[in-house]
Amino acid sequence: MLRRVANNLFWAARNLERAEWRARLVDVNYHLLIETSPRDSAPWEPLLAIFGEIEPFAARYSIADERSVLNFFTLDPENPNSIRNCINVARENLRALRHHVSSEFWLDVNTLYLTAQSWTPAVFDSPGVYAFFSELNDWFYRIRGIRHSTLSRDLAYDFMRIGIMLERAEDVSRMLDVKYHFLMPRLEDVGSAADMMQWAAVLRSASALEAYRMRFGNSIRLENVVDILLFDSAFPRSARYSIDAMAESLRRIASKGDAPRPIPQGVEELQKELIIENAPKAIAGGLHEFILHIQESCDAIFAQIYDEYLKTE
Amino acid sequence: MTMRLRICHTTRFTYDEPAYQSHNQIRMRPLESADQSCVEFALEITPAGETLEFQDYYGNHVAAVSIHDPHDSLTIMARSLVERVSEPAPSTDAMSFEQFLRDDRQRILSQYDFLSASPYAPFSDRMRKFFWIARPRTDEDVAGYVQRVVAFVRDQFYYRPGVTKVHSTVDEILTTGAGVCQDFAHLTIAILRLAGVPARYVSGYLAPRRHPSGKTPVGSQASHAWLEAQLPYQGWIGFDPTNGCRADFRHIRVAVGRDYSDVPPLRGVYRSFGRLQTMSVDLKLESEAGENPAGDGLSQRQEQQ
Repeated sequence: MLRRVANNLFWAARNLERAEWRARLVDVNYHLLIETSPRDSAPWEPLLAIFGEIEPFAARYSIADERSVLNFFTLDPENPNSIRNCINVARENLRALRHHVSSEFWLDVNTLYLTAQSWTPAVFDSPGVYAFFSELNDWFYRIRGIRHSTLSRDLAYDFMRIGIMLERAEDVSRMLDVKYHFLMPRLEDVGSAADMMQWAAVLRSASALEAYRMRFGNSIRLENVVDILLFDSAFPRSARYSIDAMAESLRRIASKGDAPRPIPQGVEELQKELIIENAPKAIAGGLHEFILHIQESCDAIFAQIYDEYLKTE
Repeated sequence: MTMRLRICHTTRFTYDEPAYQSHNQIRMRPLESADQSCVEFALEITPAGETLEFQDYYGNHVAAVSIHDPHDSLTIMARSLVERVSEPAPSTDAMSFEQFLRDDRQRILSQYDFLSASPYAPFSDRMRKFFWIARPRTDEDVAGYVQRVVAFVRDQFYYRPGVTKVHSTVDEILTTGAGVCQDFAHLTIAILRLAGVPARYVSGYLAPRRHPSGKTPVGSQASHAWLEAQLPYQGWIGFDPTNGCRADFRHIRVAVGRDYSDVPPLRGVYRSFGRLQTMSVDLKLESEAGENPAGDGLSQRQEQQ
């Protein structure tokens, strides 16, 4: 497979996954705001902080209120990571590669793209923020289902899968970080009803609330939340699951080359780390720092994958 | 501009041992369309056989001929008189791929045959790899893109008979870098389909120029093949990648299909105790006034198995 083709597939899938997590992160913040009365003057700023986008945002918007952040996150053509731009990139990358994937998959991405072109800020009034994002979430479920059930497990599939899984590992850890940024917990708040409600909102936005309850019961504790979102080997949206899945696809890709080669070193390192570490240790050492460390590892892994498979001379 | 053209297309098979139970399908009657009419058509078959005429799925005229008794040779002579008028000036309205792809879902349903891989135009790894360098830009006009692809295929590949065979797929022309009109058409078709533009194969004849201005265009003395692309605002428009141009009034359409496999002029089976069959083809094209006859005894790609 041409490196350019692999690169386009990787980014198409990664952008779809990114768009989905952006939508989920908006959703979690929205729920956090409903569940608590914000003490902060700019309750939407945490979203910008976790993506490192405070500056590009401030360059064009004066205040970080619901409307402006939703616009920046969802529609803004100047923001390369706005949900609409992610969808645009995915569709543009697939446009010339429709026959590397299935027509069902291409057509659905194309239809989502066409739908996204008609979005205006009015969508946040009607159908409303909640309805808009839940409909968007349905789109991503649908596209994932089509990809899962119509694509042969070939190189194209695996390059898309590593894009998805790398993005997922980064974004699920970002989601944990929202809470950190949203509200530096005061000691008396830890374990309070409000605290539990907020963690429940995080879990719900990661579609992890039910999986959590099945494993840990009704009581919501920070270390269990961290466990299921970072260290769980069975929950499909955890960081560990994502890195394992990525490793599996990388091994398959590596075995199909002319000469079998090892998969990028950083992947196995992070895999080991997610086995050895656990939630209490990560929290004790500083959760925010641990999350930053995962994200740095993901960046390093991307650089290795890029050099090995995607870079064109 | 109007042109009347007489075509006499003779195919003769001789067998080392008598053939019997010979069943053949003949697609040699020029098509009817707004800019082309078949004024006369006659099929002479020696020895005579039972003939059944029908239209196939793509609207081509087919004569199915069966000869049961033993025979040493089989001659099929198709004579037609065709009147051809120039196509109206093409619409110049542009449509970018950006806009074109809005109807993609509907187009895949309605033009499935002409957007999918077909026997001679498979979406092989090699083909998809090649497509990458010929893919359209988002803001590119669809009709402009088709012309760019036609010119690109013309420029990148050599016209060279004998390099590919009648059953070659696009992989062969991509490997050898050379082929004949059939290969040029298949390759262009595959590129356009990969880009999402419906494309179909046309077999027919290319009439010689009335006032030859130098050399004779490639394909003018034999059966010719080109393609049609379905363009926005314009419908099915013919393009001749072998000559790097749009099809014009000299292109006489005989049959259309997904690719060569749908439209061979002659296809058949027979029984025989012998092993050898030899085929000769003679094609004469002349304009009604009688000047400028062309073509004689050229060997051509046809099949009878």
